[in-house]
Amino acid sequence: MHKKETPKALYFLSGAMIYFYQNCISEQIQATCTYQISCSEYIKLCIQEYGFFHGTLAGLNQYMKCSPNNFKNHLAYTLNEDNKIINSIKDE
Amino acid sequence: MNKKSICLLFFFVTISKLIVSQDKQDFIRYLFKEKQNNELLQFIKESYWNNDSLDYLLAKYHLGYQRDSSFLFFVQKSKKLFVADTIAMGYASCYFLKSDQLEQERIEWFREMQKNRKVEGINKMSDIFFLNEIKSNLIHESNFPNLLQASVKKYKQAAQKNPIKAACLSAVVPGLGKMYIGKYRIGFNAMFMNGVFAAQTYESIHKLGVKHPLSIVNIILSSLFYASTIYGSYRDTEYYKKENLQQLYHDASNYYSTVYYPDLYE
Repeated sequence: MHKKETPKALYFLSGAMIYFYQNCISEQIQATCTYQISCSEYIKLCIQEYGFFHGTLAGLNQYMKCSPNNFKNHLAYTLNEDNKIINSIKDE
Repeated sequence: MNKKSICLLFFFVTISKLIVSQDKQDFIRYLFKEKQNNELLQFIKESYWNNDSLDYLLAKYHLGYQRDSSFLFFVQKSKKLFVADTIAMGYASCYFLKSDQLEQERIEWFREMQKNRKVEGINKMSDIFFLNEIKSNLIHESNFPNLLQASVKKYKQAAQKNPIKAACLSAVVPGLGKMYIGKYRIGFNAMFMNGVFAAQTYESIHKLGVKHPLSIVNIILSSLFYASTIYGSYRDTEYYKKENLQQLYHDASNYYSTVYYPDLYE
């Protein structure tokens, strides 16, 4: 997938929203993620890598899969020592 | 000294060298079977003075205990001796099927080394995997050992899945594309979340009207989730294929490693 240019305003807006979530909301609600790279961090990295549109869609896709209920749908080798699902931006 | 005594002396020296080297190999084998790691390493370092043999044995030692970087360092120094050792080479090629554990550049050299070898039997299988000659329509489960057949079957099924078909199914019913690749729980999850967002949007439009800010936010959110389900189904199907191939490599690596590991010093 090729990186697409994102308008700067959108880039900063999404960055600010994720920063606010990670530093203020996430700790308050004691959020735990089933993935090695947490969903918010994943969205941030995806937006950096693929641009705003593709990055948001890929990030939301992981967010929808993020549930302990879904562990059985993942293959054994994709789980790490802490029982978190190994994910990377390039693979998925 | 006459000719007879020189011949006898030569004969005696040759025989004694052979016996000593045999004893060394037996002792190494014993230490390996008893899992005396430190003693084995010390004995190898003390007993072998020849650089090539020392590097070869050290490469084998690090391979046995799965220390990737040390193994690759020593194997580069003792390339000829190592390639000649069929069992060690077989074990190495099985172990390195899990290539994702290493940097691509480091294993490229190993692959090059593998290409130049002529192998037969069980070793051939790991080489076929290794050189990425595996093609879903060409392989058949019956050619593989019983323990690997399930993985091969799953890989073949995964290879037939079409990402565009999955995306279209998700467009019709959100989450159906994920069920199409066998991920039922994730599919139901996506279906449930999309359903909740759709219901919320419908309610806000019905009660507050389309132009209300809350309705606009709901419309944007639900359409984003809907689009991400379609896009995600496409991506997941592509990833599902890679994932199954990687799982097959892992299973094959574990299986063939158990075949070679006990005989590493035989």
